[in-house]
Amino acid sequence: MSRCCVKTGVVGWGAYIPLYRLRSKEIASLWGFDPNVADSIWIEEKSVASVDEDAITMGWYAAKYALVRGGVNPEDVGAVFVGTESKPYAVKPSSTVIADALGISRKKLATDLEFACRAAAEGIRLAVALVSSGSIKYGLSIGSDTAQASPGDVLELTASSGAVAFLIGPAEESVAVFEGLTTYVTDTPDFWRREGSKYPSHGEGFTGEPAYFHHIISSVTMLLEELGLKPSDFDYAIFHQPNGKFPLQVGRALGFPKEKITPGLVTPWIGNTYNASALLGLAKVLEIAKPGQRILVAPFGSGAGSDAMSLVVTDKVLDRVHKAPTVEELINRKKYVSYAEYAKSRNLILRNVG
Amino acid sequence: MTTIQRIWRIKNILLRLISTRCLECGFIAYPPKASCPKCGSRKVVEEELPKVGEVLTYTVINVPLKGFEEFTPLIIGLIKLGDAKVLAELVDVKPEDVRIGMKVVATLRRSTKTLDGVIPYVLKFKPLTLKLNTTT
Ligand SMILES: [Zn+2]
Repeated sequence: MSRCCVKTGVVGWGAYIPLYRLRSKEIASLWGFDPNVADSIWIEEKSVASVDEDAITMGWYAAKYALVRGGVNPEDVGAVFVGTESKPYAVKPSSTVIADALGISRKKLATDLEFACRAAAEGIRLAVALVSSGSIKYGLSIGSDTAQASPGDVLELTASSGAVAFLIGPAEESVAVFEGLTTYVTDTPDFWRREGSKYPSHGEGFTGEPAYFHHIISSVTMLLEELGLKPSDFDYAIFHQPNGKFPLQVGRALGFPKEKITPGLVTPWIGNTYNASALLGLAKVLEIAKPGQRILVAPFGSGAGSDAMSLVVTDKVLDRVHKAPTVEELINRKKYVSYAEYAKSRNLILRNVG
Repeated sequence: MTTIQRIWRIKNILLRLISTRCLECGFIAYPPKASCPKCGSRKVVEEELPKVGEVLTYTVINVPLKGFEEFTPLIIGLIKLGDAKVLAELVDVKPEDVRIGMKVVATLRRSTKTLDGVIPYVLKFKPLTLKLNTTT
């Protein structure tokens, strides 16, 4: 075990996926995309948040069920981190609203973190550091996004909404214990949104190899070297999922077979939930994992960086899975909406507001 | 439309459904009251209401108050939560699919902006479609 995460683990987890889905074929045909584009990146449908949902409301739901699964009194939570790139306010924290709504102690750290899709992963690292140093007993890291895409941008096929929360605490109460954590970060201009811009931009030529693949391969390689482990030592591998294809490709490059990656895939059925993407995959895997199994999870965020984490599942996982809605149940519970309904609920229609 | 001062003052009522229970007659008041609306006793204690309940009755508003246009049609339900009755918005359901006796669960949602542009977060209710092992 590396020194970064002594005796800490995941005590509880919670997920949220909005009820509504939009089929990717409908987006592709509306904008005249190549009919095979959705299949080529493996995206079938994406989740659509309702008009009254945002990163705070979805994060609240995920955090609430992380506390339920962990059986932890909200008064004992000493830190709340919200990783999001779609915070409802430019200035005014989301973490404070969620914490007050859940009755979390006033004596706490609370902040919103931004690093494209990996801020919540950094929130986990911060919570692990605080728990492992004895500064707090439990820390919550929440990843929640209502991802934006300019109408007609190819990004619109995948940009979706969802949330996930991990309650980090002492190893002896954990469903999975951290073995190692590494982070690899550089300045890479693959994706950004300027202050005041409604929609993000992506740097052509930067998004694949120099960003996603280079950073994930680097963080995972560093972790394997540090722990002296090989891909065959892991039972599951979960990577950030901007679409359904990239995680399989990066897994292949690192030597992880498809069978170890597909259990943690969520994006083909709900789209890219940004800060929740890879971490929803981790939640989904915890819901099927057996005690003693080893999980690799590597979120990625544009800008760019990747965190690689190794966790070993404990026997406490079995009792906690069905204490709250599972990722599988949330994926399967759905109602389809038209592009017009999606445009209305995601505020894509310009209106005269008096 | 409401104001930021009012939202901040009553945030625990909106976010956690804090009510008062009368220690004399047992009546639960939501929103909470300093004295019991039923027997007048001042012996009341704060109590957080359960978050799972059922629809007693409801109404559908097609011509809403100014500011609520994007939420239209607005469904307002009278919801039984334990011994309390609460008026709240029903979401994730179409008006024609609402049923009296329907089980519902509280969910945090946005309400319409205050006059100063702040977003009020409130508990609304949605149909209970997933198994929950908690009512809190
Ligand atoms: Zn009374």
